[in-house]
Amino acid sequence: MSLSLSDTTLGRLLVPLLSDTAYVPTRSAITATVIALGAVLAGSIAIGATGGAAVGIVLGTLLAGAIAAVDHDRLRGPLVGGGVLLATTATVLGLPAYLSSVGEQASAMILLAGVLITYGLASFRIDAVGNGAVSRAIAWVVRVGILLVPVTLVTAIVFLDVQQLIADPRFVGVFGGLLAPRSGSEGVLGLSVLLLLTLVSLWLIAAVVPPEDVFDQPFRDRYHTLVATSVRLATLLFGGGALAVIVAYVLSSELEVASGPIEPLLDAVVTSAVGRGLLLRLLLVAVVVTVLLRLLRAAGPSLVYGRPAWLPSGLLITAILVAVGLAGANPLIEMLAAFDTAPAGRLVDIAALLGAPTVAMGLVVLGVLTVGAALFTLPALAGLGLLPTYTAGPRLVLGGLLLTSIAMAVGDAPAVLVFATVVAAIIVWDVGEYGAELTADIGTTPARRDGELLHAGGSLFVGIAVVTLLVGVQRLLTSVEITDDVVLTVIGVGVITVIVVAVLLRE
Amino acid sequence: MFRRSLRWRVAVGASFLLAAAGIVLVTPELVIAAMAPIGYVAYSALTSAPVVADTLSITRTVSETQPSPGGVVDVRLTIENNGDQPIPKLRLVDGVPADLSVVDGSPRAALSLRAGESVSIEYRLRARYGEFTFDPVTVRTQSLSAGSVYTTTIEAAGPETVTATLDPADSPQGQGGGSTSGEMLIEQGNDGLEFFGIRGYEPTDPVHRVNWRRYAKDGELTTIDYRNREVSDVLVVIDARESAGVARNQHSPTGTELSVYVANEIVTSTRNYRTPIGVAALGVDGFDDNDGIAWVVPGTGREELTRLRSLLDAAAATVRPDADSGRATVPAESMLTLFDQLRPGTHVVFLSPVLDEHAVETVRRFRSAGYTVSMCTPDVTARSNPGAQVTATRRDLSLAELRQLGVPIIDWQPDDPLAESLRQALRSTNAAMGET
Repeated sequence: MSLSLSDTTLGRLLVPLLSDTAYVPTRSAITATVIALGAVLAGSIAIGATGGAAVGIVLGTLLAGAIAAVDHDRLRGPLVGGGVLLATTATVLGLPAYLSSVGEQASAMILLAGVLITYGLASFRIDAVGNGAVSRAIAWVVRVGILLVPVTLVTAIVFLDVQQLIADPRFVGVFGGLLAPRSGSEGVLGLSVLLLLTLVSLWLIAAVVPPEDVFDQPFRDRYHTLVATSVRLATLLFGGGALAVIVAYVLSSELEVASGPIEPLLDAVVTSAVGRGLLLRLLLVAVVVTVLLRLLRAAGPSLVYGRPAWLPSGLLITAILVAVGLAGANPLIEMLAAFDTAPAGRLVDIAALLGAPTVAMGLVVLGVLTVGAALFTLPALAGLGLLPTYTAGPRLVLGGLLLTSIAMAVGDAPAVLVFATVVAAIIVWDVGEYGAELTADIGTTPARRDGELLHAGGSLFVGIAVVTLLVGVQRLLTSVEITDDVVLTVIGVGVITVIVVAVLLRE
Repeated sequence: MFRRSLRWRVAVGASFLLAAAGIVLVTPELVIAAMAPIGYVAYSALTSAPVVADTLSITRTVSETQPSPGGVVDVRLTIENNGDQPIPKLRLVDGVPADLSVVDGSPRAALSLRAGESVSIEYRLRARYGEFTFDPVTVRTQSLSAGSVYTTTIEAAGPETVTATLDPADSPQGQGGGSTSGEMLIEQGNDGLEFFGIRGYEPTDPVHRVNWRRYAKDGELTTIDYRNREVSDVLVVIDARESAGVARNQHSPTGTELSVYVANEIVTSTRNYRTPIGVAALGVDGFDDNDGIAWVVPGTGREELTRLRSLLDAAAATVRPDADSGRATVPAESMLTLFDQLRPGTHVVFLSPVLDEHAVETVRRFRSAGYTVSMCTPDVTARSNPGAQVTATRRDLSLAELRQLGVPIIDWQPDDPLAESLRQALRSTNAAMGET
């Protein structure tokens, strides 16, 4: 019994990712893929950067699949696709930068070329660019970043070193009176104000929690009781505490009533650094929670109660990132301390004040937002008209192969291979774009689809002629005894003249 | 109309990019390589799309120019290159009437035609009620480089319209039928000639039907039944109410049109067996004196056939934009009047997309009046948005309820051929019976 694709597990996974709009028909897609991969592999072998090409090819494929999957369904697609997207994009950004820093520019260029080529080729069939696929992926990444921000803030509050904060002269002027564990009237006043501020921050939470009307009746009463009891307890604890401290101070110091037992106790409370640190943390957490609740209420009930599709995957990935950030915090700070650079030193200083986990989480947030910003390049290019919806894939492959040819030229590959790669780039783009235009005209399932190989054959024939011509031009120029600068000038002027003539001829 | 494609601008951009990279990186190879894209631009400039307005002949044939509403029409488009030169890149789109949907094949193609060569493409349309005109075929040729494009329209030879009505004045008459009894026998044992079965004796059974052989052999009294030669009438009930006038999309036929199509198929095939057949259409006013329902009682004569076709046409015509929207419900009095005119044992075939509760209610009414009911329901739900999914789910629940009542149902997906759906339903019924 034969199974259709949609009957198989693989089919069920892949079918929703397939693209109808940028669909390049099979013959054109196979032709373009064979030429493109052949060109990038030949180029990488010529300059000894095979590893870079292989890694680029894998990363490009993963990137395309991840972008297509991230908006696929509620959990599975975004969870797998989102995780792969974050890891892949970070690698695509970081690895070439690292290769360049160690003097492997050609490998870095070939790696990026491989990414562009396979990402473009994958877009021939899957919904990886155009139709808002990248924008949806960016939105998912930004949402994960937004989820990470409050976690990072809370981490900073938890790991905040109050003693160091007080010792910092920049903060003493503003918060010293509240935070410095002093005795006497100044310390009592500071502690009382801190207690009252904490109470106000807790009242603010009570003011912005969801109204009880949003819950059904059995839970509504319990919710009402819970909120009311919490407010009463907080008022009793912090408001009453502030009042008790003031009254105790007045009784013991001013009126000298029972100063014997009260004064040591009051002194212990007022000069407790741990107590003030706890109050400060509670105050800050309350402020963060209040702001978050207010933002969520402003975002609307549909977002808060509607369980939007991105939320489960976003929460899971955020949890994983938090775990990774916290687990890698100390090794990260140790690594940063080993670097003798100003930015690394600054991060180590921040880690001393806010804790290593805060710095690690901050870098995770920065990384996630950088991934979003890097992905934004694609919609920006689309907005500029450089990556049209239907033909973005072929143009990305063209860009990748042109980058390959530049890397080959920089890496002293034979000139004929450079020319062949440039011609391959034009052929792949021509065949791919022709296929995509064909789909735009006659759809994905026409009655007949003739002429694809004829078009590819014409393009290949012209390409062979062009390479032959360029080799001839190159030999002619290199056989003449003139300096490199003159050669460059002559060729440059010649090329510009040919371009102008060609444009005029077309008009 | 000629047009110069802008696609090769990309090559000019690539050329500038390579030249700039070559100059910045001081690599003459890149500057020389920058001429490669320009070679392609020259290739584009030197090739031109062929003009085919006079050299291309297109012929359109259709399987039926007067199908029934909701029926299928096979279209064949033959394209011939009468010129001396080949046409390497030809794209065409047949001018399918905007309100009709293609249910199989495609009216679009990309062809390469040698001189004198002809190619045919085929597709299938789902007809809707009314007259629909084909537009000219849009044809586009390209140069070998695809840089030059020529687009035009060509009138296809052959029929230009498809008319889907059942008006007896327009439609060819089917077989008239005769007055002899039909072949749809009711499954009821009684007096007659053909052996039907043996059952236990009852005191009121006539003596001549007692199975005396068995009594002599086993001493058990049993009675022989013979098949009742009474012919079962068939009443096809079409749901043409406003709620049934729903389609999957604006090009697809509505539930009413599909029901009329099925009804017409049943009427035609049943009359070939000379079975008395009638039609009732829910939601049709003005055809007779009844309110919210119109009918033609089962019969086999030519007059009945003419009236049946008129009623089917009236039911299909409820989908016209200018038609009065049919009633949401059928008054009980009208239904009782219909029941009074039907013979006992009439079998009811109910055709409805089942998009509201009234469809289930109608089946209950027929069954409570003692008629056996079977159903064919065209699925016009789209499931493309949450609202449509809710409608589809409600329909599934209604069908489950009807099946629980014991009503045999054929859930017909209009993209599938009706005959195939009927065969599948029969296979699944046989399988279910085999299991039990």
